[in-house]
Amino acid sequence: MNPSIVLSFVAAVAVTACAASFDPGSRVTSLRVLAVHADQPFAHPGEEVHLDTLSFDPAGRAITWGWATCVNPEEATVAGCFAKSGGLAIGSASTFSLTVPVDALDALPAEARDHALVGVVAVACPATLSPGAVTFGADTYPFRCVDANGRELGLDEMEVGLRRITVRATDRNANPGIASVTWDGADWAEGDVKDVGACDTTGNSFDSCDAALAHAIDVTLTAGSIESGTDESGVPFTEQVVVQYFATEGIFEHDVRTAAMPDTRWVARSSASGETLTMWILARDDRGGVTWATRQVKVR
Amino acid sequence: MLNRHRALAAIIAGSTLLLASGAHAQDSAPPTSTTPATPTSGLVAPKLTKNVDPTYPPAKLAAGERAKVVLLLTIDATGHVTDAAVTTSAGAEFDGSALLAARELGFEGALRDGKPIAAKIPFVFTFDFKDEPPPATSDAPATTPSAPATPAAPVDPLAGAAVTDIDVKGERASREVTRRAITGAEILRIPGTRGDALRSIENLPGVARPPGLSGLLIVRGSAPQDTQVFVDGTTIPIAYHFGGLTSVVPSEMLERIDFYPGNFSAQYGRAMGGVIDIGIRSPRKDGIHGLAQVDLLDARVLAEAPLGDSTRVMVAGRRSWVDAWIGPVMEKTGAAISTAPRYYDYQAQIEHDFSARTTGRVLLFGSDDRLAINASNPSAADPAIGGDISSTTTFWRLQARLDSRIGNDVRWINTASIGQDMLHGTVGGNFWNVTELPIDVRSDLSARLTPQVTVIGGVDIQTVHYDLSTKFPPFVDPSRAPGPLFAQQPDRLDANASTVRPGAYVMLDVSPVPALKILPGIRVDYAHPSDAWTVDPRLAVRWDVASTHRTTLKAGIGAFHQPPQPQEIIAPVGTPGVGPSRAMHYSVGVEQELSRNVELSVEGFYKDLDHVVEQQSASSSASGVAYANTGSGRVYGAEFLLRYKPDSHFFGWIAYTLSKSDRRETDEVAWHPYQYDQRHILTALGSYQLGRGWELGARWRYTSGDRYTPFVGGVADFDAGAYSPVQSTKLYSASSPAFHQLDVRVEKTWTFPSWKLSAYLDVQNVYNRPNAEGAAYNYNYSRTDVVPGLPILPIIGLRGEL
Repeated sequence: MNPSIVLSFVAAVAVTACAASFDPGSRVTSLRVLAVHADQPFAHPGEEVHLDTLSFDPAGRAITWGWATCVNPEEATVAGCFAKSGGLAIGSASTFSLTVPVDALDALPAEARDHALVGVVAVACPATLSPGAVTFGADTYPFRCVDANGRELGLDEMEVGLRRITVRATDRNANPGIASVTWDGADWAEGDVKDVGACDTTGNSFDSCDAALAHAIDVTLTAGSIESGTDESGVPFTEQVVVQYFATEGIFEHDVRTAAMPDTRWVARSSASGETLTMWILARDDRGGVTWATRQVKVR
Repeated sequence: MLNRHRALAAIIAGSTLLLASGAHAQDSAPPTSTTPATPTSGLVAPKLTKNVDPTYPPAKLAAGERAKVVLLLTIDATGHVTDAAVTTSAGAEFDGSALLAARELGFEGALRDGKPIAAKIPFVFTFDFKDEPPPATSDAPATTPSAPATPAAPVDPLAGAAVTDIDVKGERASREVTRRAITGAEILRIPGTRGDALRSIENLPGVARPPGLSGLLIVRGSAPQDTQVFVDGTTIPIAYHFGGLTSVVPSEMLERIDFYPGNFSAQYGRAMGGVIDIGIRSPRKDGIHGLAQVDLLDARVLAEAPLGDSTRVMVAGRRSWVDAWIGPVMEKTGAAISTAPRYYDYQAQIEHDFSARTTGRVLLFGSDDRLAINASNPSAADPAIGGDISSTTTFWRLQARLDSRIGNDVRWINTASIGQDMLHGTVGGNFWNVTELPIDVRSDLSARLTPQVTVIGGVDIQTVHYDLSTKFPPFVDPSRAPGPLFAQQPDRLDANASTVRPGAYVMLDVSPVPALKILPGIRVDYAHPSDAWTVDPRLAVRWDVASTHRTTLKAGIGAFHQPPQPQEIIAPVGTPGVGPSRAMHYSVGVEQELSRNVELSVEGFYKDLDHVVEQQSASSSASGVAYANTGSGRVYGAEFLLRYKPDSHFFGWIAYTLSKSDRRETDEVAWHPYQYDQRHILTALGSYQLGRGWELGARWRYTSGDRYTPFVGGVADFDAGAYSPVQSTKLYSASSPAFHQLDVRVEKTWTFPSWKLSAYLDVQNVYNRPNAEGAAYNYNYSRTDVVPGLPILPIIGLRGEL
């Protein structure tokens, strides 16, 4: 509503564009939870929802998981959800199930039911996770993630995040699907490890590498991945679907693409010579739907 | 006296340059004539080369007396005034001031057959002022320099002939504690502003440097929306085009800009920060005039002409052409983002004299800004930011005004305006559309009851009809940083409502003795739909304790209420029942005239804010947020201004503000620095006419860096595949490195018999300082870096004036 909002977004885009000196987020070099998949991104009151995760730790450490849920938090953030949660369930399972309360919709005034949701906070700790309290800036979370030396891990050493399950009376949202992945124009099946040469660079500029070393990657989404229609409130919608690329090494020409133009190019860096790299391709819609494919590349 | 002027001018000019780069001042060029002589029968009249403004006697000004003094000047063969005698007196004070000024006038001596000779010429000083303009008023400069002398016709030596007129445009003493007026002579020549009037305001004390390309007006630590901008009494929604590059009303149409940083009079309501009152000038009566100007950013034209003896018109327009070249440039560089900012504005007015005492005017003006960003790839930081991102801000106003003088002591100005504001924006699939239909009506009456007492009163009514339609995810608590928008379910909200805000004020201008001015006032406002009555008593006092070199002590205290913004109160976006915010202003200061051209002003101020509207998250509301009058604030500081008023060669000033602005969202939380707190603001600027049409100006600014809340890390948003920042506990506890920048302007003017051509080079950030305009973070907010501001930016322009 306020023009300054647009300028804020413009600034955000500009800042992202200016931040070339940083390693890209698409390069997975530390513990990451890349996605939390829900079998029902839009759930109905009383319905059970199953979550599973896509995570990776380059160090190969055992991960302890914590799960907390909240219903209709004042603020759909990690801190807002913790403030309304009943505590953290800790265990080794990277999957989680929850049941949407039957009054999740009715607890809100009619005019606010578009906000109805169940929030799920997931904590992935590569050390010892226990109930407690830890403060990061303005946020205080009800756990401690402590390494063998008793040191509290920082936010960038573990993963804490929020997944929202939208509560609706009748609406559904199907997760998008990936029908196929191609490598340099040919079908790239799971388990087909590609052998590639490396670009002699330690930087992050795709354009600094010889084009002959770059490989084209493309995906085809399943039919119906981009849903549209009119929701139960009578508001028309068309999903925005994006394709995100991640890898343990290398440089993507584009980290994120639209469903209409999902292709990108990727080049390995010489620092990964001799290694087998993992690449993840995720398709997301803007209503909480997500799916992924995993591929591997061997760098000469 | 003259040498003293020059010395102070040199100090200011030198400071501007020395503070910036240690450069040394240049020797001044000899003055050039502005009035070509007209040879007749081998006789050439003296030519005025140095114009001097007489001091308007303060007591006469306070009493509202105008006068005309005619002198007979004796000018020797070298052009020096050797004698001046009063031939038409206006009283001792006016005569004395005129005689004092006459001795400093400079001429090229008269010639007969090419040989210098002595001469006598009549010379007229006209002392005139315009009434203190209420918001909807005044068609005269607040302070304009003397008009150039009209050409002297040939004279017989020692005989006297044609009269040379000098108009001394004074102004009645301010009815506010502090009014900063920028004159027409200064507006177009301030370096770094491209001659833009409103942008020149940011060089005055109390005005912070806005964050880069934001175009915000930040006055004495207040929020931008707390400062109202009036165009002859009508509020406008934006002061600047996109990015603050240029203002929405061209400088060439302005008669005056009055800037009140605080403690403004009861004439102005519904604002608790500052007031900027822009006066549109009347079209010229002396024939057809026009101008055309083009530079790197935009092109503008203006034309004006009389239509008979009592009617005149003026039309103007401007359009940016950045979009014509920035798109191709970005495409050539392979940028994934192509931007196409574009703005234009237009103005048209017709003015008619119904009688010698009544003038009517119809003014149409408007502005249109469009920004479109076509990002071919979604942002990794927030996939919602991709595709089409656009913003459109459009407004127009149609204003009618009738200015009547009833007798010698009453002035009555009636103004009515209608208009439309449209805000439209899209970010991915989210959007907002806001249409506002404002109707403003005001009537201001000023009546001098006795020579010591003037009463000013009026009513103004603002009604606005709003039509809102938005689709956006709920905004989280604004004290927290927003995470990615992608996959957050948007609210679709529609609202249709009106606000009605009538107000009335009355104030007295009491001068029990000429040197003392007491200005009590009171303002009453009603705000619908808040259903809130507010009463704002205000008092200002000005006391000229010395008049030879004027010393004025001043103080003010007052209450200022501001109704909530429409999005804060109109359901379902806002919260019905939210009331006005309130501020108490206190200020005390002194103005010391050091010489005719040099004045020092020092002022301390304190603002106490309460019932400030704050936003909080609320899942049970339709918009996901709720507003309440829980906030408070405090701002205190001191402002210093050493100013050299324009003379025939130089103007400049050094302005420094030291201030602190704190806020808290509720009484239960600790004070923290406000987002717009800028501790140090220093501006030194000056512009010198070198002669032969050359002018050189420089501006150097130093300010504390912009405040921001640092992030201590990030948490994942699993729905977006991106991260949300986690803020530090201390809001706005960090600030960017200090900002400093030197801007230089060089202008060359060629004067032809019927028109002028100017070429200018306005170079911003001359020494290419990489000023920080914010902080950039990596994908999970664990690393940070600064965002650099604009590099050196040369702008070349051409301007022709008819």
